[in-house]
Amino acid sequence: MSSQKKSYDGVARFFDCFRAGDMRRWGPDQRALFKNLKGRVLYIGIGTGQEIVNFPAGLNITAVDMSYEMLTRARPRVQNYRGNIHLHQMDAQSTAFRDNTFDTILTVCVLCSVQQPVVCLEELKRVLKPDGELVMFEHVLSKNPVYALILKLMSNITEYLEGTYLDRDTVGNTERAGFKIRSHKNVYLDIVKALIARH
Amino acid sequence: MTGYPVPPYDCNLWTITIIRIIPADRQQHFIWQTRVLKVNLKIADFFIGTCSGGLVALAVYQLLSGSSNMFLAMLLGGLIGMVLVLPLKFLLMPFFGAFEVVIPLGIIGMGVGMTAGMLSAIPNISGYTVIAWGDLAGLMVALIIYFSNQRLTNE
Repeated sequence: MSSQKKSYDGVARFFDCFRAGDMRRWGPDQRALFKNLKGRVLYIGIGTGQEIVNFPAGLNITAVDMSYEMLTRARPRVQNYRGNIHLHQMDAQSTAFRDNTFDTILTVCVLCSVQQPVVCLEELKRVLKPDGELVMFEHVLSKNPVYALILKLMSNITEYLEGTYLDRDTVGNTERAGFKIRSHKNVYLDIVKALIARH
Repeated sequence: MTGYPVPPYDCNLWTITIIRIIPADRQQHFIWQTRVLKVNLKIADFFIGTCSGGLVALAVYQLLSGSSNMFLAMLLGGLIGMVLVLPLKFLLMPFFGAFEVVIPLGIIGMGVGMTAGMLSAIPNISGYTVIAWGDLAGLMVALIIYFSNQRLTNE
């Protein structure tokens, strides 16, 4: 965890630049998905808070990230949000929250970065209320062999540079952790997906 | 944390740059300009495909023209293409999105590199022909991905 935390601290100053194109592409899809956020929301891996601009106003959000530098850069966006966002430095695989705390949990490109995605998802299941929803905006490995080959090749580089894996089976991992996928929408090819899961 | 500006509308690189270098009282004017000049990303995808295809073909032709072994030229062409598109991916990602750049450029690097390598091994072939093939193949890849994306996102 420590080396990954250092890696994200290091990449924090370039993070907005790396993700700027994605934010332009994904804005409308994220805004549509984020309409499902309700009640007490846990936002896993806030990063520099780029997605905050796509949140509906008035939400009560607890946001966590393992990187202090990321949280520092997220703070101005948090202050600009018309609602409540509370920041905490925490590892998504072992949060400090009680069982059944949140009505909705949001992850945006997080399950591609955590060391053990199934462990992380099991932890999210623990803190999610039984009737709560897990809202995910994630990228996964394509089922198309050509796209999959490119993603696997590129994953070696992104893994080295910023600890991101492009070859994760996040839909399968979510089901392995005990969730049921309720809604499944492709955002770009079958790689970027907007998902909603329940207990 | 004071003094760190917040993107008011969106988070694209141009907006972030503007709010970091333009005084606060003049930002609104430049941000409106940004919105007016916003590039249509779908058109950009075809443009990137065509240009990167041509660029890969040009590089492969320059390095492998006159090669006598077509099979070896194909392998080397694929390798050169894959290496060449790597910095191009990192250069274009912040502007046009990670996967929207990685996927087409990955296919173009390998595919156009290999075919351009084979073409370059044909005696007396013009460099313009190889580059035109690269442009066409790049555009075709962008088109295939566009229709593939349309199908997958409308499922």
